[in-house]
Amino acid sequence: MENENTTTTVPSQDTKSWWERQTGERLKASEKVFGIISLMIFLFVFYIALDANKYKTQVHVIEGEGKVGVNPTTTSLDFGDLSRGTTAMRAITITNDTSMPFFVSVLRLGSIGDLLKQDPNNFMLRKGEQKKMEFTVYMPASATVDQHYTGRIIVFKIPAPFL
Amino acid sequence: MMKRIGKFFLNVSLYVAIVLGLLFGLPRALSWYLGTPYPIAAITSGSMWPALHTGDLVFIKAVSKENLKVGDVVVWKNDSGKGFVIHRVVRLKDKTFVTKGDANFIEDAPVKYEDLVGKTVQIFGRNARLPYFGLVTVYAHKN
Repeated sequence: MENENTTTTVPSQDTKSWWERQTGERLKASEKVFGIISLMIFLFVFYIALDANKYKTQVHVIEGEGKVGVNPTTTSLDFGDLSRGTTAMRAITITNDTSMPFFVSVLRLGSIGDLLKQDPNNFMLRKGEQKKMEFTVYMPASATVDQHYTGRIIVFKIPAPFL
Repeated sequence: MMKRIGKFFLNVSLYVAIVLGLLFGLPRALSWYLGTPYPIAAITSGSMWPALHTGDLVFIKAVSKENLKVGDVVVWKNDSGKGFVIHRVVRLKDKTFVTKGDANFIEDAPVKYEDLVGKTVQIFGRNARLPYFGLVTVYAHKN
């Protein structure tokens, strides 16, 4: 009697995707497209957040009139000492040395945010262009003497190749 | 199929009715409840910082001359009648009252009681405000 060799194909567990093993269902094509687009959006936002320039900002309120202190540091956006009714200005120069234009948008956070005026904000910066952003702090009559108003300035550079 | 289309249009109509009801009904209801034709105000400048911030939305209620006190944050129509000012009362006189923005160094010119719109609604002694809800008005004001 001859031995008869028969072969059968059994679906192996290893051929299933991770998603299929976890949920027991296969991903539809539309779900795959949605997942890829979501991942790309996440990576884009993550890159912008990571690439943003972050500056610590602070100002100290002092007694008196018309007194303006010095800027003690160049590493942060420090407006030094200001008495009520006075103004101090600092600037950040931003250069686009990449190969594509980007959209610049600035977010102000913290207690200093209400005292801070900025010009310009939300603008396009083309390849090789440079722009100076001016930040001005005005100390109003209602500021508390000896108080430090602090915060952060975050400069987002959003790639805009089609604009 | 026709039943499904009918159900879809019924749902859309219901949502539109709810949104329109909120958009037009809520200000009218607030106006009636607070007794003023201008029950909501957006803060467009920093003159009342830190009590009120740019972009805040505050609620205004009617107030009579007799009930007005120094320290109240009030809304009044300015001379041209085109805009409104929201500042704190610093002095009360017979025919006029004087206001000043907390962040300002100088007082405003005296205001006639006829130009008074109302005062801010207070909750637990603080101005009831909705942060950032007035940013659309701030943006429209700038442009």
